[in-house]
Amino acid sequence: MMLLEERPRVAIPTVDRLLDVAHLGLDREQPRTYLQEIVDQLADRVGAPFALIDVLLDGAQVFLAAHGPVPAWIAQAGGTPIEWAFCRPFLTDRRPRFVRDLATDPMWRDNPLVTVEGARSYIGVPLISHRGHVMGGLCAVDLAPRDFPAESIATMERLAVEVIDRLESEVGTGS
Amino acid sequence: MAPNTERPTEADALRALAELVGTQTATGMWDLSVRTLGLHRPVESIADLRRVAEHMMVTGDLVRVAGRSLKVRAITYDALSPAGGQP
Repeated sequence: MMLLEERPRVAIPTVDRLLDVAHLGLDREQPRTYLQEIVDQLADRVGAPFALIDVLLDGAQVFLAAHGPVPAWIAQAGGTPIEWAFCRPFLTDRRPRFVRDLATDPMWRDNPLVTVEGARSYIGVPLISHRGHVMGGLCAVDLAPRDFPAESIATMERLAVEVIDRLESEVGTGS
Repeated sequence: MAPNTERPTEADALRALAELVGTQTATGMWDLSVRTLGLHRPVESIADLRRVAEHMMVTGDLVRVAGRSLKVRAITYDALSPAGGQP
């Protein structure tokens, strides 16, 4: 069991990035129904049971919207520790990512989202704010090892721009 | 009512902050901010008051983010622990 004080220093606590997160209010616990249609659309397009919009804080990822039944213990927290976040690599590498089988991937096979909840495949793109910071990711997860449709990345990159536009628009409207 | 055109002072700022977070926390936050910026109390110039204000705003944002992170971590690791009961 990994204790709080033993957590690896996986997140680069870039102050400017976290201030951008805070400026957009992405750390706040609040419903964001205006994002739901995006994750619903993503799940439908790639044929996955789960689609998520996550934000990477300093020590955790939080979910802004989800398609699919998020386990109760994760829903209660509203996220997971950042070391479990499949989108965490976007903090250092902004290229879209795809993992066919998380259970055999050395980076993810011991992740509780894999070992406890059965996540097996992942595809994701980064969410990049207009200030140029990685806010988090837009991703889809399946419970079986699989490939994703060839056009998935292009679709997701288009949706990721829409996510950022909506989030930044909400700040502009003061909602 | 005539507009208040008096310059803000450190005492004004501390009083306003104390109404929100209590005297002890307000004083502690103020002292730390002033010290971090290399200033000395009482902070008298408007420019320095503005620096303290901006420092507190940035710190507040980052504290909020860190607080949310810690809350997520505490709930999830507690749920995973043998005594946590979940999942």
